[in-house]
Amino acid sequence: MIDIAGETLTLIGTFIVDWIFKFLTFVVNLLLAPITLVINQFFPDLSNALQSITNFFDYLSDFPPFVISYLGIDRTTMTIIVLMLSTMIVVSIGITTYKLVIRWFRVVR
Amino acid sequence: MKRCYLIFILFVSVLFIPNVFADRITHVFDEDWAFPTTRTPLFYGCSNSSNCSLLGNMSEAWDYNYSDDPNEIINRSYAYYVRNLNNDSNGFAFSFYPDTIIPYNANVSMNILVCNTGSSSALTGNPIRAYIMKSSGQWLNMIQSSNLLSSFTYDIWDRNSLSTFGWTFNNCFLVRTHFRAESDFLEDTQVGFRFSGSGNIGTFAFLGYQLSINGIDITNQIAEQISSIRDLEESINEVNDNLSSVERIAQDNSDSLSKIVEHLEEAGDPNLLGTQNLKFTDSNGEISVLPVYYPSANYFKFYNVTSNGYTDLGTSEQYDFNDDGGAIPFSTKYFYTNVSGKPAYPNGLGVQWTSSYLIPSDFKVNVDAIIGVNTSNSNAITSISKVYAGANVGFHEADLVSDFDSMITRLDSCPDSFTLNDQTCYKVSVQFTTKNAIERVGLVFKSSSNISLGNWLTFYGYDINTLDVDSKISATWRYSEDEPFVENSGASYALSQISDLFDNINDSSISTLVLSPLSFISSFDDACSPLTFTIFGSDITLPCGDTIFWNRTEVQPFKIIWNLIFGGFSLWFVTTKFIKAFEGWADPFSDKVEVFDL
Repeated sequence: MIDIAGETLTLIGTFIVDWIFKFLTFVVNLLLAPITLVINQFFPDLSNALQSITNFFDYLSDFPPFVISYLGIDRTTMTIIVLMLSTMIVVSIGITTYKLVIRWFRVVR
Repeated sequence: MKRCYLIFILFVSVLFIPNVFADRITHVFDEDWAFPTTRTPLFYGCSNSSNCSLLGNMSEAWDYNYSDDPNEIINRSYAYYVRNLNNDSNGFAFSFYPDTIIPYNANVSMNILVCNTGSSSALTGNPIRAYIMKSSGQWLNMIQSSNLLSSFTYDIWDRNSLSTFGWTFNNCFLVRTHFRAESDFLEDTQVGFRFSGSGNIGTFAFLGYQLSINGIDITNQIAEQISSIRDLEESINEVNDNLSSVERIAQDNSDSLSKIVEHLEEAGDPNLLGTQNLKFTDSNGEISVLPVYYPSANYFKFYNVTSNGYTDLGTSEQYDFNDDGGAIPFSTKYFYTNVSGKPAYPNGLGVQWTSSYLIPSDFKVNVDAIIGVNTSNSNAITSISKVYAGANVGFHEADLVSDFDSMITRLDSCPDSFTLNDQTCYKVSVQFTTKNAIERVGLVFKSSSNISLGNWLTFYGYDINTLDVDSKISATWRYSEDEPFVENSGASYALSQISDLFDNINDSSISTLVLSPLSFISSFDDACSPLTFTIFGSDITLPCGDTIFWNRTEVQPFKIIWNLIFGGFSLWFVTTKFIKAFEGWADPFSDKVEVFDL
């Protein structure tokens, strides 16, 4: 029963994080589409540089699970922590993006 | 508010507390145990030190005497009920097939878990000896100390009471034995253990075994093998069930089809009057027969197609006549335009009929029709300029078809069902692919010279075939009134569209950069994979902490306590920090949330 509760909690948490990601990716892509278009069209080198930074983050993402595996923290606990961290960052990025759109709206107006 | 945090942490902690206080015997069930499922263990009573008599099959005895839920028990244990077994020091024995082959000269470690419900003194738990038997027959004589096995040692690892499967066992022994195989343990080799005991043993249960060969634990492999066999059996049962379902569905479909046919035969198709075989002489001078449908007047019309639209010309019918001059309904029937007094048709003449079945999208459609014109101009009809489909009323050139192609062949003779003067007949073949489901088909004929006043355009009938573009299988038309054609249910279609919308996002470089911190944090709860570095041309792999430490059996109790302390503290720390941040969002004077002031 304990295992079932932990696994269910992990499953629900993972599901929520997954869909938070999908939705935020969609929103950010939508809002930044004009900038992305300009960068890809006129500044291809800048696009490559940005991609390199992203790749660096991807490379770094291999290390946390490795370190955490030595700390012996339960995966359910980590899922809860990640869920809270994700919520914080999603709200921050979401509000920042929203502000950006409002700022553009003011300029256009 | 802090009280709420405390309650939350306690709630999470409580999830792990019961494991800490679990006794060791109970905890062994968290480990992998193998159970001899292919053949049931046997139970023996020993009358003296060298002779044990077979008393019976262990699982049968359990089911017969006590089990309320035999399936559950058989899946986990074997048991044998023995009451007042008074064999003094000779005790009793049981044997089982280990479901694996143990090679010659192998160092074998075998843990067995056995219990009894009777007197705690009836079973001492000391196995006098381990035996093997290379026979599939009954073990009537347990020969002690055979040369097939040597260096036998044992120790009692744990002893406790245990409640499981609805039983309370007063004694449970986890016995660890070690021996060397002096011969191959083949598939027909049993392993037996003889225990000392006297008095009321009650029910003796064999709950499982763990097996290591030359230091390699293969218990999990055996358990997985057995699990695979069970999964396979379940799969076979599911396949059999599915086959039964398919047979049932096929029978239902067959019944439904029979009913539809009966319905059509009894009531008649509202759109079709029937079929007939048109016999005519084709362009090569050969006699051909084309089976065609001919629709009723209510579902068939001629049109004068103009550049701005169409004009309904209506439909007339004429019957062939039998010898006595009467009409023969549902026999040689055809349609013609009574164009007398009508203007010429510079843009062509149209015919349209309603298919009585819905043709789905992405179907290749082939239409063959026989038409005739009573004009002396043998090239009265030269082409089919357009095909119309899907219109509910009249002609609408909807963008519902693609890959349109047509061919017109002038026949040497018209179908011989009719007697009409100066008829020139044509066989027209039209192919197109439906882009949407259609229920009507329309064709517009063009001529080199206008089909003018007094000309009759006769539509003898049509034949239509459809072919699924993807499956290349001829489609079965669905009767539109009885079985509406539904390609996708609304909910599943909407969900698939939403899923596609999110899944087909092409991440741009800038958005992935913005979201990089988020993806980095999400990697925290990913499964660990070993790190590999290349140093001086050689690959060095660092294994995960779970592999080399945390997943080991003896570490599990410590891991639980460690999680309770370290994990709980981490959760407490992170929760208190972020709850403060969440509370900060409620501050109306913070510019972080003041985003609505336009």
